[in-house]
Amino acid sequence: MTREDVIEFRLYVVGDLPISRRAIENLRTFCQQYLPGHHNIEVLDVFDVPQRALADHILLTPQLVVICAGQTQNIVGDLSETDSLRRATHVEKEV
Amino acid sequence: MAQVENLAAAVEALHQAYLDVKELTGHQAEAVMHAPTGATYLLPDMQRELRQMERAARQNAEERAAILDALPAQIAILDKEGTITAVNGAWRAFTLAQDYPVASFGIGLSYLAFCHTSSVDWQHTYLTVATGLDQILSGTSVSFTCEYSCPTPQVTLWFLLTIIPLQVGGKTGAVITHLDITERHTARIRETELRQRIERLMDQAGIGVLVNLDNRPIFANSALAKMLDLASKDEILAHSEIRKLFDRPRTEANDITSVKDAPPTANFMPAMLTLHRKDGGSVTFDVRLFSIVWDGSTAACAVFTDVTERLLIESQLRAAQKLEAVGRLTAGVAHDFNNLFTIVLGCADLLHDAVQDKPDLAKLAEQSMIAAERGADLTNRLLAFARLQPLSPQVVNVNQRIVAMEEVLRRTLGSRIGLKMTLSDTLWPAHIDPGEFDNAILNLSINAKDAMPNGGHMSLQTRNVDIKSDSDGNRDIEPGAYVVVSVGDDGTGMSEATQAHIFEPFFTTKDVGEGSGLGLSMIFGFIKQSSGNITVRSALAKGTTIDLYLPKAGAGHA
Repeated sequence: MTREDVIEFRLYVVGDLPISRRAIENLRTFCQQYLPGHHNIEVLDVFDVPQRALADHILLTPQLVVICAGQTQNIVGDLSETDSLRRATHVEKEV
Repeated sequence: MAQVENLAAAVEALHQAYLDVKELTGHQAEAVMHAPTGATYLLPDMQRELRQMERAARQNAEERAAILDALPAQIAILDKEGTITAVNGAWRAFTLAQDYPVASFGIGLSYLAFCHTSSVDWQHTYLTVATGLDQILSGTSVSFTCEYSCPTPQVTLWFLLTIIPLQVGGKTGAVITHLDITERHTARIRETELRQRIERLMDQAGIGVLVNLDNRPIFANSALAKMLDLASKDEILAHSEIRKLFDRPRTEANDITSVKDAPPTANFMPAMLTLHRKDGGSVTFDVRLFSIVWDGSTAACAVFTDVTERLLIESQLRAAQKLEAVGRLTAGVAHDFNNLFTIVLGCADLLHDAVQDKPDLAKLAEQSMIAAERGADLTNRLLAFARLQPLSPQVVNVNQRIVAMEEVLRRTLGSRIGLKMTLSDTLWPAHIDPGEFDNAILNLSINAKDAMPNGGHMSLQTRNVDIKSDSDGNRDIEPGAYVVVSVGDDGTGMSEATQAHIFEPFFTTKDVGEGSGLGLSMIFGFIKQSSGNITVRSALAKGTTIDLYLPKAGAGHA
């Protein structure tokens, strides 16, 4: 990944439920820590935009769509495990 | 029956599916979507959670409303446009009580528009509040407060208005709080009035008040500053120690810093306090001391009463009474002695004529006559002091008489003493016995000469003096018009102790046999008998000036 790349995140949630809220917090923390200035987060409520959810093949919430270097990956859950996020965004683990 | 079993099977399948979803997502999913329809289903756990959250939010909202209603201030919540979206109970009660012409307590109205309708005398405050609200809503300020009055038909109310920002759905609204501070405002005005009233009482009561805490002045009034000839009470309070203010040895009797003995009720201190004023004069106080609780500590409060004038009047009165008493005694004795000397003189005269043929006896009779004459002369002078000598007051041009005496005075004073005469051109005529006046001037000149054994200058001055009734410094002189003759010298002067006695008969500073001690007594008696007055100004080594106040002719003196 080059520095100029901006990684798109689309996080699908339902209302203000606890796991969704945790997912938003965890994603923001991750991005601030590893991708400052190189990320764009969109939080979407599936009740508000069901068509977009279907287009992104969302079956479960909370679910994160990561668009990185032309690849699209989906991650389900509260994102407390950063390994999958790291893999999807090609961020090396800190030594 | 089959339907029930089918339903049970479907529910069982649903439950299994739910468990599978949970299992597959590691308990991390909240909802599932049906791909063909796009319908979203909340998982049962999450449905329960959502219901609890809604309940909590509802309860929270109710509690918040109850708290807002319980507050005594009138509170309104505004959206980002400044429109009232919610108000509390106090707000509703106030709008009802004031009968404001707005529906729904102003909800839905622009707040500023609401304010505009609420008061007739509002223009200035309206602009101030509008500016403040704009700044809050635009995020350039985080709080705004102002106090304003709001006239109602009954009474003018005072409010403290506070505006703080409130984030509503990501937009900046505002919370407006009106707190009725009419009571506080009124109390503050009353307190100010009370303080001013007490300060005025303190300053106008003519007593000095000084409170000190461990020798540090913490309160003083203007009256005390005036008594001490200071510009203001701040000059007193500026001192770190009141001992510096009262620069004098401290004794038990005059220590006004001690609260140890300060009683709860005011007591006079055993000793009077004499202080030096800034202008060099001195002032004497009666001091009362009592303890007073001041900011939780016990301070000493001293109350000063200026008794300088009282003491002066008392001493003048005492001196006058003493001279009066001596005068009465002298009058009685002198009168009898005068009669006796008349008899002795008459008999000696007869005897002298009868023994002309016996020169030795005639000589004795002659000596008796001389002695009796001298005795009579002495008693006459005593009578003069007792104001009982026969006087023949006339309208006298004092200047003329002084000029006529000039040659005699110069001879009396001798060559080593200069005479300077300063006579007023417009001098009034005096009503006085001219012979006794000449005697008085001669006597005073002799006194002046005696006060200047090494030579010097004597001055003779005449002037008109009109003493008004409220004139200070001449308390023992009746108001009226006087011709004043001043006889001054630059000789040895007199101590205050000597000055206190100079008019008493037989008081003399001259050696035994040199003076009778009756000169000034006679002048005193003569002047008093003529409805005039005599005063003395003297300082050791500087000289003495005697002022004779002679009544102006025709001025109606008794």
